[in-house]
Amino acid sequence: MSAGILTLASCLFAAGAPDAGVAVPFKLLTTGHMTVQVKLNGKGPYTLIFDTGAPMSIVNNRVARDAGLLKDRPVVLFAPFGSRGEVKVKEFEVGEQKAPDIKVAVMDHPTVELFSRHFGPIDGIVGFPFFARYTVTIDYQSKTLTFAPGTYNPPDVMQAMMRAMLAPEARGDKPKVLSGGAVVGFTVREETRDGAGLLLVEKVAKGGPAEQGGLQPGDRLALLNKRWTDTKADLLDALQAIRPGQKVPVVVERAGKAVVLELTGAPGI
Amino acid sequence: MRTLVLMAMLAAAAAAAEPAAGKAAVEIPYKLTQPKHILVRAKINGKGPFNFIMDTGAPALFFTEAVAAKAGVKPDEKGWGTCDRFELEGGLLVPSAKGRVDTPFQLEGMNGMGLGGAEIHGLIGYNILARYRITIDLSSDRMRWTPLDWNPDGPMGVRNQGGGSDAGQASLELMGSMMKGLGGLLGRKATPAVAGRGQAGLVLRDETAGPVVASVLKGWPAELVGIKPGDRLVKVDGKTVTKASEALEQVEKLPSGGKLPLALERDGRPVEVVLELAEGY
Repeated sequence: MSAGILTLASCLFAAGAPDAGVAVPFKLLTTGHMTVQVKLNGKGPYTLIFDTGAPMSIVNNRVARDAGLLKDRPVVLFAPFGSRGEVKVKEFEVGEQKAPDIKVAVMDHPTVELFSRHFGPIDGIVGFPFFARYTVTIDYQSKTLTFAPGTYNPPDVMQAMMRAMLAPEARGDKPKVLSGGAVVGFTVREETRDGAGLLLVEKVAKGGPAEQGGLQPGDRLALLNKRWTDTKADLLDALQAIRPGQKVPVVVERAGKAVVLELTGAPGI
Repeated sequence: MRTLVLMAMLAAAAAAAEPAAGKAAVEIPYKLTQPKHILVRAKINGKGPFNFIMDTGAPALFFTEAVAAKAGVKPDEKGWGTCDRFELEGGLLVPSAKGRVDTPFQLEGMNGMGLGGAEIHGLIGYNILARYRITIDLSSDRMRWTPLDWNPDGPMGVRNQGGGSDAGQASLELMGSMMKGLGGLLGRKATPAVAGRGQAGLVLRDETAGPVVASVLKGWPAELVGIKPGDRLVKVDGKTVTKASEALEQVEKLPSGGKLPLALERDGRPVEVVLELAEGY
Protein backbone atom coordinates (compact mmCIF):
# COMPACT_ATOMS: atom_id res chain seq x y z
CA MET A 1 0.00 0.00 0.00
CA SER A 2 2.55 2.53 1.09
CA ALA A 3 4.84 1.32 -1.68
CA GLY A 4 1.95 1.91 -4.08
CA ILE A 5 1.50 5.45 -2.86
CA LEU A 6 5.19 6.05 -3.12
CA THR A 7 5.26 4.73 -6.66
CA LEU A 8 2.27 6.87 -7.55
CA ALA A 9 3.92 9.86 -5.96
CA SER A 10 7.14 9.32 -7.83
CA CYS A 11 5.18 8.85 -11.07
CA LEU A 12 3.45 12.15 -10.48
CA PHE A 13 6.74 13.76 -9.66
CA ALA A 14 8.33 12.32 -12.78
CA ALA A 15 5.39 13.49 -14.88
CA GLY A 16 5.60 16.94 -13.38
CA ALA A 17 9.33 17.31 -13.65
CA PRO A 18 9.67 18.00 -17.40
CA ASP A 19 7.31 20.99 -17.23
CA ALA A 20 9.36 22.59 -14.49
CA GLY A 21 12.19 22.42 -16.96
CA VAL A 22 15.73 21.14 -17.03
CA ALA A 23 18.14 23.17 -14.93
CA VAL A 24 21.56 23.69 -16.52
CA PRO A 25 24.33 25.28 -14.45
CA PHE A 26 26.51 27.87 -16.14
CA LYS A 27 29.86 29.36 -15.33
CA LEU A 28 30.16 33.13 -15.26
CA LEU A 29 33.30 34.56 -16.82
CA THR A 30 34.73 37.75 -15.33
CA THR A 31 33.55 39.56 -18.46
CA GLY A 32 29.93 38.72 -17.59
CA HIS A 33 29.61 36.05 -20.28
CA MET A 34 28.21 32.65 -19.38
CA THR A 35 29.55 29.31 -20.52
CA VAL A 36 27.73 25.98 -20.62
CA GLN A 37 28.83 22.39 -21.21
CA VAL A 38 27.65 21.07 -24.57
CA LYS A 39 27.72 17.59 -26.10
CA LEU A 40 27.39 17.11 -29.84
CA ASN A 41 26.06 13.71 -30.92
CA GLY A 42 27.21 12.36 -27.58
CA LYS A 43 30.77 13.70 -27.96
CA GLY A 44 32.25 16.18 -25.57
CA PRO A 45 31.49 17.99 -23.35
CA TYR A 46 32.75 21.19 -24.94
CA THR A 47 32.57 24.66 -23.40
CA LEU A 48 30.40 27.12 -25.33
CA ILE A 49 29.19 30.66 -24.60
CA PHE A 50 25.41 31.06 -24.19
CA ASP A 51 24.41 34.16 -26.13
CA THR A 52 20.86 35.48 -26.61
CA GLY A 53 22.32 37.99 -29.06
CA ALA A 54 23.55 35.31 -31.46
CA PRO A 55 21.20 34.41 -34.33
CA MET A 56 23.24 31.25 -35.02
CA SER A 57 25.10 28.67 -32.99
CA ILE A 58 28.77 28.23 -33.78
CA VAL A 59 31.39 25.55 -33.14
CA ASN A 60 35.01 25.65 -34.18
CA ASN A 61 36.69 23.21 -36.55
CA ARG A 62 38.47 21.32 -33.78
CA VAL A 63 35.21 20.42 -32.07
CA ALA A 64 33.39 19.82 -35.36
CA ARG A 65 36.06 17.26 -36.35
CA ASP A 66 36.10 15.72 -32.87
CA ALA A 67 32.32 15.22 -32.93
CA GLY A 68 32.38 13.92 -36.50
CA LEU A 69 30.30 16.78 -37.89
CA LEU A 70 32.48 17.23 -40.97
CA LYS A 71 32.59 13.60 -42.09
CA ASP A 72 30.64 14.09 -45.31
CA ARG A 73 31.89 17.59 -46.05
CA PRO A 74 34.28 18.08 -48.95
CA VAL A 75 37.63 19.69 -48.24
CA VAL A 76 37.54 23.33 -49.28
CA LEU A 77 40.51 25.36 -50.41
CA PHE A 78 39.25 28.79 -49.44
CA ALA A 79 37.60 29.07 -46.04
CA PRO A 80 37.89 32.44 -44.29
CA PHE A 81 37.97 31.92 -40.48
CA GLY A 82 37.83 28.18 -41.25
CA SER A 83 34.20 28.67 -42.22
CA ARG A 84 32.66 25.38 -43.36
CA GLY A 85 29.02 26.38 -43.57
CA GLU A 86 26.12 25.00 -41.57
CA VAL A 87 25.77 21.41 -40.40
CA LYS A 88 22.89 19.72 -38.63
CA VAL A 89 23.70 18.18 -35.26
CA LYS A 90 21.44 15.17 -34.59
CA GLU A 91 21.70 15.56 -30.84
CA PHE A 92 22.66 18.92 -29.36
CA GLU A 93 22.91 18.64 -25.59
CA VAL A 94 23.29 21.65 -23.31
CA GLY A 95 23.82 20.36 -19.78
CA GLU A 96 21.08 17.75 -19.44
CA GLN A 97 18.82 19.33 -22.06
CA LYS A 98 18.90 17.41 -25.34
CA ALA A 99 17.56 18.91 -28.57
CA PRO A 100 17.33 17.02 -31.87
CA ASP A 101 18.45 18.42 -35.23
CA ILE A 102 20.06 21.74 -34.36
CA LYS A 103 21.95 23.60 -37.06
CA VAL A 104 25.36 25.00 -36.19
CA ALA A 105 27.79 27.01 -38.26
CA VAL A 106 31.31 25.60 -38.27
CA MET A 107 33.90 28.37 -38.10
CA ASP A 108 36.87 29.53 -36.07
CA HIS A 109 35.33 32.81 -34.94
CA PRO A 110 38.17 35.19 -34.02
CA THR A 111 36.36 36.51 -30.95
CA VAL A 112 35.68 33.02 -29.63
CA GLU A 113 39.38 32.23 -30.14
CA LEU A 114 40.35 35.33 -28.21
CA PHE A 115 38.12 34.22 -25.32
CA SER A 116 39.61 30.78 -25.52
CA ARG A 117 43.11 32.13 -25.03
CA HIS A 118 42.06 33.94 -21.85
CA PHE A 119 39.60 31.60 -20.21
CA GLY A 120 40.69 28.13 -21.29
CA PRO A 121 39.15 26.22 -24.18
CA ILE A 122 35.96 27.83 -25.45
CA ASP A 123 34.76 26.23 -28.64
CA GLY A 124 31.74 28.17 -29.81
CA ILE A 125 28.44 29.85 -29.11
CA VAL A 126 24.96 28.54 -28.26
CA GLY A 127 22.52 30.90 -29.94
CA PHE A 128 18.94 31.35 -31.10
CA PRO A 129 18.34 28.03 -32.94
CA PHE A 130 18.76 26.16 -29.64
CA PHE A 131 17.27 28.40 -26.97
CA ALA A 132 14.30 29.54 -29.09
CA ARG A 133 12.79 26.05 -28.79
CA TYR A 134 12.36 26.43 -25.04
CA THR A 135 10.90 28.70 -22.43
CA VAL A 136 14.29 29.64 -21.06
CA THR A 137 14.89 31.24 -17.68
CA ILE A 138 18.19 32.97 -17.02
CA ASP A 139 19.14 33.36 -13.37
CA TYR A 140 22.56 34.93 -12.78
CA GLN A 141 22.19 34.66 -9.00
CA SER A 142 21.88 30.87 -8.91
CA LYS A 143 23.96 30.64 -12.10
CA THR A 144 21.37 28.44 -13.75
CA LEU A 145 19.64 28.32 -17.10
CA THR A 146 16.31 26.49 -17.06
CA PHE A 147 14.85 25.05 -20.24
CA ALA A 148 11.12 24.22 -20.13
CA PRO A 149 9.21 22.86 -23.12
CA GLY A 150 8.19 25.64 -25.50
CA THR A 151 5.75 25.91 -28.37
CA TYR A 152 7.72 28.36 -30.52
CA ASN A 153 9.00 26.87 -33.74
CA PRO A 154 12.16 28.82 -34.62
CA PRO A 155 12.50 29.65 -38.30
CA ASP A 156 15.77 29.24 -40.13
CA VAL A 157 17.32 32.65 -39.54
CA MET A 158 19.29 32.75 -42.79
CA GLN A 159 16.28 31.76 -44.89
CA ALA A 160 14.00 34.20 -43.06
CA MET A 161 16.46 37.01 -43.72
CA MET A 162 16.74 36.14 -47.39
CA ARG A 163 12.94 36.16 -47.68
CA ALA A 164 12.75 39.48 -45.87
CA MET A 165 15.32 40.95 -48.23
CA LEU A 166 13.33 39.85 -51.26
CA ALA A 167 10.03 41.15 -49.87
CA PRO A 168 8.66 44.18 -51.75
CA GLU A 169 8.84 46.43 -48.69
CA ALA A 170 12.60 45.81 -48.45
CA ARG A 171 12.98 47.63 -51.77
CA GLY A 172 11.37 50.64 -50.19
CA ASP A 173 8.64 50.92 -52.85
CA LYS A 174 5.74 50.30 -50.54
CA PRO A 175 5.27 50.35 -46.79
CA LYS A 176 4.84 47.00 -45.07
CA VAL A 177 1.17 46.56 -44.15
CA LEU A 178 0.52 45.45 -40.57
CA SER A 179 -2.83 44.42 -39.18
CA GLY A 180 -4.30 44.45 -35.73
CA GLY A 181 -5.99 41.23 -34.68
CA ALA A 182 -9.34 42.86 -33.90
CA VAL A 183 -11.58 45.82 -34.78
CA VAL A 184 -11.42 48.67 -32.25
CA GLY A 185 -12.93 51.59 -34.14
CA PHE A 186 -10.89 54.77 -33.86
CA THR A 187 -8.47 56.94 -35.83
CA VAL A 188 -5.38 58.83 -34.67
CA ARG A 189 -3.03 61.57 -35.77
CA GLU A 190 0.64 61.97 -34.96
CA GLU A 191 1.90 65.18 -33.37
CA THR A 192 5.11 66.47 -31.89
CA ARG A 193 5.39 67.98 -28.43
CA ASP A 194 8.69 69.10 -26.89
CA GLY A 195 10.50 67.35 -29.73
CA ALA A 196 8.89 63.98 -28.99
CA GLY A 197 6.20 62.22 -30.98
CA LEU A 198 2.75 61.58 -29.57
CA LEU A 199 -0.48 60.06 -30.78
CA LEU A 200 -3.84 61.79 -30.41
CA VAL A 201 -7.19 60.06 -30.87
CA GLU A 202 -9.09 61.77 -33.67
CA LYS A 203 -12.38 59.97 -34.25
CA VAL A 204 -14.06 57.28 -32.20
CA ALA A 205 -16.70 55.22 -34.03
CA LYS A 206 -20.10 55.46 -32.36
CA GLY A 207 -21.08 52.16 -30.78
CA GLY A 208 -17.71 50.60 -31.57
CA PRO A 209 -15.40 48.82 -29.11
CA ALA A 210 -13.25 51.93 -28.53
CA GLU A 211 -16.26 54.06 -27.61
CA GLN A 212 -17.65 51.32 -25.38
CA GLY A 213 -14.31 51.23 -23.58
CA GLY A 214 -14.43 54.99 -22.96
CA LEU A 215 -11.89 56.26 -25.51
CA GLN A 216 -12.53 59.90 -26.47
CA PRO A 217 -11.37 62.19 -29.28
CA GLY A 218 -8.43 64.28 -28.07
CA ASP A 219 -7.09 61.57 -25.76
CA ARG A 220 -3.35 61.11 -25.99
CA LEU A 221 -2.63 57.37 -26.29
CA ALA A 222 0.17 56.62 -23.83
CA LEU A 223 0.07 52.86 -23.33
CA LEU A 224 -1.83 50.08 -25.09
CA ASN A 225 -1.42 46.58 -23.70
CA LYS A 226 1.54 47.95 -21.71
CA ARG A 227 3.36 49.08 -24.85
CA TRP A 228 4.29 52.69 -25.43
CA THR A 229 2.22 54.22 -28.21
CA ASP A 230 3.92 57.42 -29.38
CA THR A 231 3.70 56.75 -33.13
CA LYS A 232 1.40 54.94 -35.55
CA ALA A 233 4.08 52.28 -35.94
CA ASP A 234 4.04 51.76 -32.14
CA LEU A 235 0.26 51.46 -32.20
CA LEU A 236 0.41 48.85 -34.96
CA ASP A 237 2.97 46.85 -32.99
CA ALA A 238 0.74 46.94 -29.92
CA LEU A 239 -2.45 46.02 -31.85
CA GLN A 240 -0.88 43.11 -33.72
CA ALA A 241 -0.98 40.89 -30.65
CA ILE A 242 -4.61 41.73 -29.78
CA ARG A 243 -7.26 39.06 -30.32
CA PRO A 244 -11.06 39.53 -30.50
CA GLY A 245 -12.63 39.43 -27.05
CA GLN A 246 -9.35 40.07 -25.27
CA LYS A 247 -9.49 42.81 -22.61
CA VAL A 248 -6.72 45.29 -23.34
CA PRO A 249 -5.51 47.84 -20.76
CA VAL A 250 -5.08 51.32 -22.20
CA VAL A 251 -3.68 54.42 -20.53
CA VAL A 252 -4.54 57.80 -22.04
CA GLU A 253 -3.67 61.34 -21.09
CA ARG A 254 -6.87 63.40 -20.92
CA ALA A 255 -6.84 67.05 -19.84
CA GLY A 256 -3.44 66.61 -18.20
CA LYS A 257 -4.47 63.53 -16.23
CA ALA A 258 -3.67 59.87 -16.79
CA VAL A 259 -6.82 57.80 -17.28
CA VAL A 260 -6.88 53.99 -17.31
CA LEU A 261 -9.33 52.33 -19.72
CA GLU A 262 -10.07 48.80 -20.82
CA LEU A 263 -10.88 48.10 -24.46
CA THR A 264 -12.18 44.86 -25.91
CA GLY A 265 -11.51 44.44 -29.62
CA ALA A 266 -14.22 42.85 -31.76
CA PRO A 267 -13.97 40.20 -34.49
CA GLY A 268 -14.37 41.70 -37.93
CA ILE A 269 -12.66 43.68 -40.67
CA MET B 1 9.06 69.70 -16.43
CA ARG B 2 5.49 69.19 -17.51
CA THR B 3 6.63 66.13 -19.41
CA LEU B 4 8.37 64.73 -16.34
CA VAL B 5 5.33 65.18 -14.09
CA LEU B 6 3.07 63.60 -16.66
CA MET B 7 5.53 60.77 -17.14
CA ALA B 8 5.37 60.00 -13.44
CA MET B 9 1.59 60.10 -13.54
CA LEU B 10 1.42 57.79 -16.51
CA ALA B 11 3.79 55.39 -14.82
CA ALA B 12 1.63 55.47 -11.69
CA ALA B 13 -1.50 54.87 -13.75
CA ALA B 14 0.14 51.94 -15.48
CA ALA B 15 1.16 50.52 -12.14
CA ALA B 16 -2.40 50.92 -10.89
CA ALA B 17 -3.66 49.03 -13.93
CA GLU B 18 -1.59 46.04 -12.85
CA PRO B 19 0.12 46.38 -9.50
CA ALA B 20 3.72 45.21 -9.57
CA ALA B 21 4.68 45.59 -5.93
CA GLY B 22 7.99 44.55 -4.42
CA LYS B 23 9.81 41.85 -6.28
CA ALA B 24 6.98 40.82 -8.55
CA ALA B 25 7.73 39.88 -12.12
CA VAL B 26 7.32 42.61 -14.72
CA GLU B 27 6.18 41.76 -18.23
CA ILE B 28 8.49 43.28 -20.79
CA PRO B 29 7.16 43.49 -24.37
CA TYR B 30 9.69 42.77 -27.10
CA LYS B 31 9.98 42.22 -30.83
CA LEU B 32 12.23 39.86 -32.75
CA THR B 33 14.35 41.56 -35.41
CA GLN B 34 14.92 39.89 -38.75
CA PRO B 35 18.17 38.28 -37.55
CA LYS B 36 16.18 37.15 -34.47
CA HIS B 37 17.59 39.47 -31.89
CA ILE B 38 15.33 40.23 -28.93
CA LEU B 39 14.54 43.94 -29.20
CA VAL B 40 13.26 45.86 -26.17
CA ARG B 41 12.61 49.56 -25.78
CA ALA B 42 13.73 51.89 -23.04
CA LYS B 43 13.28 55.54 -22.18
CA ILE B 44 16.30 57.23 -20.66
CA ASN B 45 15.60 60.29 -18.48
CA GLY B 46 12.22 60.48 -20.18
CA LYS B 47 13.70 60.63 -23.68
CA GLY B 48 13.20 58.04 -26.34
CA PRO B 49 12.06 55.32 -26.58
CA PHE B 50 15.34 53.84 -27.74
CA ASN B 51 15.76 50.34 -29.15
CA PHE B 52 18.03 47.86 -27.37
CA ILE B 53 19.05 44.29 -28.10
CA MET B 54 18.89 42.01 -25.08
CA ASP B 55 22.24 40.33 -25.33
CA THR B 56 23.81 37.96 -22.80
CA GLY B 57 26.84 38.18 -25.08
CA ALA B 58 27.30 41.84 -24.11
CA PRO B 59 29.21 42.56 -20.90
CA ALA B 60 27.25 45.70 -20.06
CA LEU B 61 24.65 48.22 -21.08
CA PHE B 62 25.78 50.09 -24.19
CA PHE B 63 24.22 53.07 -25.87
CA THR B 64 25.37 55.39 -28.61
CA GLU B 65 26.79 58.90 -28.19
CA ALA B 66 23.69 60.29 -29.89
CA VAL B 67 21.43 58.62 -27.31
CA ALA B 68 23.58 59.89 -24.44
CA ALA B 69 23.40 63.43 -25.81
CA LYS B 70 19.64 63.25 -26.31
CA ALA B 71 19.03 61.87 -22.83
CA GLY B 72 21.53 64.19 -21.17
CA VAL B 73 23.78 61.40 -19.89
CA LYS B 74 27.34 62.65 -19.44
CA PRO B 75 29.97 59.95 -19.78
CA ASP B 76 32.94 60.04 -17.37
CA GLU B 77 36.53 60.08 -18.63
CA LYS B 78 36.39 56.30 -19.01
CA GLY B 79 33.28 56.42 -21.16
CA TRP B 80 30.71 55.27 -18.60
CA GLY B 81 27.51 57.16 -17.92
CA THR B 82 24.79 56.67 -15.30
CA CYS B 83 21.14 57.15 -16.23
CA ASP B 84 19.01 59.00 -13.67
CA ARG B 85 16.02 57.12 -14.96
CA PHE B 86 16.14 54.01 -17.15
CA GLU B 87 12.68 52.62 -17.84
CA LEU B 88 12.01 49.52 -19.89
CA GLU B 89 8.79 49.25 -21.85
CA GLY B 90 6.34 47.32 -19.70
CA GLY B 91 7.03 49.60 -16.73
CA LEU B 92 10.30 48.33 -15.25
CA LEU B 93 12.51 51.01 -13.69
CA VAL B 94 16.13 49.90 -13.56
CA PRO B 95 17.75 51.76 -10.66
CA SER B 96 21.02 53.58 -11.35
CA ALA B 97 21.59 51.94 -14.71
CA LYS B 98 25.21 52.42 -15.70
CA GLY B 99 26.16 52.07 -19.32
CA ARG B 100 29.01 52.45 -21.70
CA VAL B 101 28.60 55.33 -24.12
CA ASP B 102 29.93 53.86 -27.32
CA THR B 103 28.77 52.72 -30.74
CA PRO B 104 29.82 49.10 -31.17
CA PHE B 105 30.72 48.39 -34.78
CA GLN B 106 28.08 45.66 -34.94
CA LEU B 107 25.38 48.25 -34.36
CA GLU B 108 26.71 50.45 -37.09
CA GLY B 109 26.68 47.51 -39.47
CA MET B 110 23.21 46.46 -38.48
CA ASN B 111 21.76 49.94 -38.69
CA GLY B 112 23.46 50.54 -42.00
CA MET B 113 21.51 47.65 -43.41
CA GLY B 114 18.23 48.31 -41.65
CA LEU B 115 18.33 44.83 -40.18
CA GLY B 116 16.52 45.68 -36.98
CA GLY B 117 13.36 46.87 -38.64
CA ALA B 118 14.16 49.95 -36.55
CA GLU B 119 17.34 51.77 -35.67
CA ILE B 120 19.17 49.94 -32.89
CA HIS B 121 20.45 52.34 -30.24
CA GLY B 122 22.27 49.98 -27.93
CA LEU B 123 22.63 46.66 -26.16
CA ILE B 124 21.49 45.53 -22.73
CA GLY B 125 24.13 43.22 -21.33
CA TYR B 126 25.37 41.59 -18.17
CA ASN B 127 25.46 44.47 -15.69
CA ILE B 128 21.72 45.06 -16.15
CA LEU B 129 20.51 41.54 -17.02
CA ALA B 130 22.19 39.94 -13.98
CA ARG B 131 19.91 41.87 -11.62
CA TYR B 132 16.84 39.99 -12.86
CA ARG B 133 15.60 36.45 -13.31
CA ILE B 134 14.52 36.55 -16.94
CA THR B 135 12.13 34.12 -18.60
CA ILE B 136 11.90 34.14 -22.38
CA ASP B 137 9.14 32.30 -24.24
CA LEU B 138 9.23 33.31 -27.88
CA SER B 139 5.64 32.14 -28.45
CA SER B 140 4.59 35.06 -26.21
CA ASP B 141 5.10 38.71 -27.13
CA ARG B 142 6.56 39.55 -23.71
CA MET B 143 9.27 38.33 -21.37
CA ARG B 144 9.11 38.15 -17.57
CA TRP B 145 11.77 39.99 -15.57
CA THR B 146 11.80 39.37 -11.81
CA PRO B 147 14.10 41.60 -9.75
CA LEU B 148 16.62 39.49 -7.82
CA ASP B 149 17.63 40.21 -4.27
CA TRP B 150 21.33 40.61 -4.99
CA ASN B 151 23.83 42.89 -6.59
CA PRO B 152 26.02 41.29 -9.22
CA ASP B 153 29.63 42.06 -8.34
CA GLY B 154 30.64 45.36 -9.82
CA PRO B 155 28.29 46.89 -12.32
CA MET B 156 30.94 46.06 -14.88
CA GLY B 157 33.20 43.06 -14.81
CA VAL B 158 34.78 44.44 -17.93
CA ARG B 159 36.26 47.62 -16.63
CA ASN B 160 39.08 45.92 -14.77
CA GLN B 161 40.04 44.14 -17.92
CA GLY B 162 39.28 46.95 -20.31
CA GLY B 163 41.70 49.57 -21.46
CA GLY B 164 42.53 47.71 -24.61
CA SER B 165 43.55 44.42 -23.02
CA ASP B 166 42.82 41.34 -25.03
CA ALA B 167 40.01 40.09 -22.83
CA GLY B 168 38.32 43.46 -22.69
CA GLN B 169 38.54 43.72 -26.41
CA ALA B 170 37.19 40.21 -26.80
CA SER B 171 34.22 40.92 -24.61
CA LEU B 172 33.41 43.98 -26.65
CA GLU B 173 33.67 42.11 -29.87
CA LEU B 174 31.50 39.20 -28.87
CA MET B 175 28.50 41.46 -28.52
CA GLY B 176 25.89 40.40 -30.98
CA SER B 177 28.64 38.10 -32.08
CA MET B 178 27.31 37.11 -35.45
CA MET B 179 26.00 40.47 -36.57
CA LYS B 180 29.11 41.33 -38.45
CA GLY B 181 29.28 37.93 -40.11
CA LEU B 182 25.70 38.16 -41.27
CA GLY B 183 26.06 41.78 -42.22
CA GLY B 184 28.52 41.01 -44.97
CA LEU B 185 25.95 38.86 -46.72
CA LEU B 186 23.40 41.59 -47.01
CA GLY B 187 23.25 44.67 -49.09
CA ARG B 188 19.97 46.18 -48.03
CA LYS B 189 19.46 49.66 -46.76
CA ALA B 190 16.69 51.61 -45.09
CA THR B 191 14.15 50.70 -42.48
CA PRO B 192 10.94 49.60 -44.17
CA ALA B 193 8.04 51.96 -43.54
CA VAL B 194 4.92 50.43 -42.03
CA ALA B 195 1.25 51.21 -42.55
CA GLY B 196 -1.90 49.85 -40.95
CA ARG B 197 -4.27 47.71 -43.00
CA GLY B 198 -7.33 49.48 -44.39
CA GLN B 199 -10.53 49.26 -42.38
CA ALA B 200 -14.05 48.37 -43.47
CA GLY B 201 -15.65 49.05 -40.09
CA LEU B 202 -17.49 45.75 -40.03
CA VAL B 203 -17.97 43.86 -36.76
CA LEU B 204 -18.73 40.18 -37.37
CA ARG B 205 -19.94 37.24 -35.32
CA ASP B 206 -19.50 33.62 -36.26
CA GLU B 207 -22.65 31.57 -36.83
CA THR B 208 -22.98 28.01 -38.09
CA ALA B 209 -23.78 29.23 -41.58
CA GLY B 210 -20.78 31.59 -41.58
CA PRO B 211 -19.86 35.11 -40.46
CA VAL B 212 -22.76 37.52 -39.92
CA VAL B 213 -22.56 41.31 -39.59
CA ALA B 214 -23.04 42.09 -35.88
CA SER B 215 -22.74 45.85 -36.35
CA VAL B 216 -21.31 48.47 -38.68
CA LEU B 217 -19.21 51.32 -37.32
CA LYS B 218 -21.02 54.60 -37.85
CA GLY B 219 -19.48 56.65 -40.64
CA TRP B 220 -17.04 53.92 -41.69
CA PRO B 221 -16.86 52.42 -45.21
CA ALA B 222 -19.17 49.42 -44.59
CA GLU B 223 -21.97 51.73 -43.46
CA LEU B 224 -21.38 54.10 -46.36
CA VAL B 225 -22.02 51.31 -48.90
CA GLY B 226 -25.19 50.24 -47.07
CA ILE B 227 -24.14 47.05 -45.26
CA LYS B 228 -26.64 46.23 -42.50
CA PRO B 229 -26.46 44.24 -39.27
CA GLY B 230 -27.74 40.74 -39.96
CA ASP B 231 -26.21 40.56 -43.46
CA ARG B 232 -24.31 37.33 -43.98
CA LEU B 233 -20.77 37.76 -45.32
CA VAL B 234 -20.14 35.27 -48.13
CA LYS B 235 -17.05 36.46 -50.00
CA VAL B 236 -14.22 38.86 -49.25
CA ASP B 237 -12.14 39.99 -52.21
CA GLY B 238 -13.57 37.12 -54.27
CA LYS B 239 -12.82 34.42 -51.72
CA THR B 240 -15.49 32.50 -49.82
CA VAL B 241 -15.15 32.90 -46.05
CA THR B 242 -16.65 30.64 -43.40
CA LYS B 243 -15.34 32.44 -40.29
CA ALA B 244 -14.62 36.00 -39.17
CA SER B 245 -10.95 35.11 -38.85
CA GLU B 246 -10.85 34.07 -42.52
CA ALA B 247 -12.34 37.42 -43.50
CA LEU B 248 -9.55 39.16 -41.58
CA GLU B 249 -6.91 37.04 -43.32
CA GLN B 250 -8.22 38.32 -46.66
CA VAL B 251 -7.73 41.97 -45.74
CA GLU B 252 -4.72 42.01 -43.43
CA LYS B 253 -2.28 42.95 -46.19
CA LEU B 254 -4.53 45.55 -47.87
CA PRO B 255 -3.61 49.19 -47.30
CA SER B 256 -6.15 51.98 -46.82
CA GLY B 257 -7.43 53.60 -49.99
CA GLY B 258 -7.75 50.25 -51.76
CA LYS B 259 -11.04 48.85 -53.07
CA LEU B 260 -12.54 45.79 -51.39
CA PRO B 261 -15.33 43.80 -53.09
CA LEU B 262 -17.67 41.99 -50.70
CA ALA B 263 -20.43 39.49 -51.46
CA LEU B 264 -23.21 39.34 -48.86
CA GLU B 265 -26.58 37.73 -48.42
CA ARG B 266 -29.54 39.73 -47.10
CA ASP B 267 -32.92 38.01 -46.54
CA GLY B 268 -31.75 35.19 -48.81
CA ARG B 269 -30.85 37.53 -51.67
CA PRO B 270 -27.27 38.19 -52.81
CA VAL B 271 -25.89 41.71 -52.35
CA GLU B 272 -22.59 42.81 -53.85
CA VAL B 273 -20.73 45.95 -52.81
CA VAL B 274 -17.29 47.48 -53.31
CA LEU B 275 -16.06 49.67 -50.49
CA GLU B 276 -12.98 51.81 -50.14
CA LEU B 277 -10.84 50.78 -47.17
CA ALA B 278 -10.26 53.63 -44.72
CA GLU B 279 -7.37 54.45 -42.39
CA GLY B 280 -8.06 53.50 -38.79
CA TYR B 281 -7.71 50.81 -36.16
